[in-house]
Amino acid sequence: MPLVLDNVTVRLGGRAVVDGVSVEVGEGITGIIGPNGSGKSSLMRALGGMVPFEGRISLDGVSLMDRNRRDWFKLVSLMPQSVRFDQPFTVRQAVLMGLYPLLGPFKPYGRREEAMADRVIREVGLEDLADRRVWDLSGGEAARVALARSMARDPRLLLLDEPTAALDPRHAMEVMDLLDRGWRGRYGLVVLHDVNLAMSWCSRVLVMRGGRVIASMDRGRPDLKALREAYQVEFVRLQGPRGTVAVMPVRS
Amino acid sequence: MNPVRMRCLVLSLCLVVLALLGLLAGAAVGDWSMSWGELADAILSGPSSELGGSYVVWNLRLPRTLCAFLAGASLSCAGVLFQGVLRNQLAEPYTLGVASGGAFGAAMSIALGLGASGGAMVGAVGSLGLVMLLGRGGSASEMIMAGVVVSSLLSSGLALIKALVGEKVSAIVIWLMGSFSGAGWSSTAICLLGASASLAAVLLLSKELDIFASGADPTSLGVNERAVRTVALSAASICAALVVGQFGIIGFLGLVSPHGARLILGPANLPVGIVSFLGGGVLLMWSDLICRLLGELPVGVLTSLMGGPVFILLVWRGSRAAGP
Repeated sequence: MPLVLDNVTVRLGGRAVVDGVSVEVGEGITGIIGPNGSGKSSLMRALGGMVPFEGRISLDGVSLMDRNRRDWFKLVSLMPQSVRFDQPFTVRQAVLMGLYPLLGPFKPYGRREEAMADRVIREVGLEDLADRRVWDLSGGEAARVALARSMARDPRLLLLDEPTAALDPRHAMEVMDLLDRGWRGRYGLVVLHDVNLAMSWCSRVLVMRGGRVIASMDRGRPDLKALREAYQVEFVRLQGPRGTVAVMPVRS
Repeated sequence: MNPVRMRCLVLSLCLVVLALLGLLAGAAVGDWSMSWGELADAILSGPSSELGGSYVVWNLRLPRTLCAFLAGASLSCAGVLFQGVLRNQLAEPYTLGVASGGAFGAAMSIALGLGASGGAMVGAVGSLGLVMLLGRGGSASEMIMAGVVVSSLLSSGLALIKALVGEKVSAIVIWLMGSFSGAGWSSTAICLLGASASLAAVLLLSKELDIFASGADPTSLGVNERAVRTVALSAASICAALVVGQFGIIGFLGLVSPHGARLILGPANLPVGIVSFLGGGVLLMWSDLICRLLGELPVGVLTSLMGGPVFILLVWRGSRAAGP
């Protein structure tokens, strides 16, 4: 059963920043693109249980609202838009924090949690840096720590809000590769500003504008009309080598 | 064993030894001079109501020394809680107006010819309640702002009282400097309650404090941010109010002890909380001993004199360790 959003609305200060979104999302990585203020992050925060919303969200056929808060956070993990490390925790300590929903209050992290953290640290390729302080990492490494923290509890639905925002093209592609390899058979929603990154790595891309999903594109098949409507600029389609397709905004 | 756990264990054992030595020294130091043999007899013979070595040790010196340890431990753990949930490394037990409230309440009591302790307690808890009310539902910075506003108002009130009370101003000033000279077993019991509550809060909330301190959005990891903040701030502020109410203003412990522990152990709040508890207790216990040897100097003056430079040193070393 897919992830189903039924008429999901999020209001901030009385204004609907997500306005009646109804969509079904299949397994694998689904991208969400759209201009600033189109409601992408608010939709992610609603799915992540961080803001109240109207409507219904169900995962694997069960409504998330019927689950208690702890079960919700076991099933769904959100990497928020701004990731910062205020204190020099080690990489392992930072990743362990992602396992908090599995334990809840009062129980200390044990061997099982440490093993889970070590596994995901290996998966994201940070095993050599596990005991390093997060302050001593490069931007790309820190982004992978944040990603590992989101993935650590092995959620059914992974929500990543601009995970590649601070990364150069190579590191951004590495993160998308990691998701493509590691998140099969589960649900992943990724907010991206890079349309080409979304078109290349996501099996499906949802286009948002004004709090609504205005179009859905399949991998490698850009909908120039939808992109123009979303961003209010013209896009052109570019044919690359080995059948690859890219889009580029142009001055109209 | 994990190196942080090993360092925490070694440091804790050293601090326990220092605390036991401090307890022994606390029983030995004072105007009533005793030989080591007489001291051993006084300790072994147990509490006595007759004036003598046993009375001095059991009714005056031991409760005072224990109070100093427990008050220092409470203030230090309160510092760990404040810095964690307010995400502010300069937050301390008096950030939410507890000190100003206690000082205002004590000054008001002294001006009215009543005992300082009751008024200080009422003032400290009252100001805390007011800050919680003003900052309810807000962010950590709004809570700190509410604390600054309430502190400022109460400090003005304190200055007004001092200007109006005439000769009683000296009693107010002496109380404000902080002292354990009046400590007894009832004070010890109250301090034990406060110290236990603050240590329990740090131990039980250490995972949540780590998440707050890391900079992550606690809600995104399923932490009930408002509940954790309310419990931690209430526990820390009430512990600070218990200390202020009985012994006056004793500053800097809530900053120096947690920051010192972090420099050695890193940012994880479980080992930092344990070492801060013991370290703060030992620091205040030995500070009080030095004050007694120097002719009953107010302990709050000594902790501020020691704490200021130590704090600057810690910040300087911390910034060097953190790199550019």
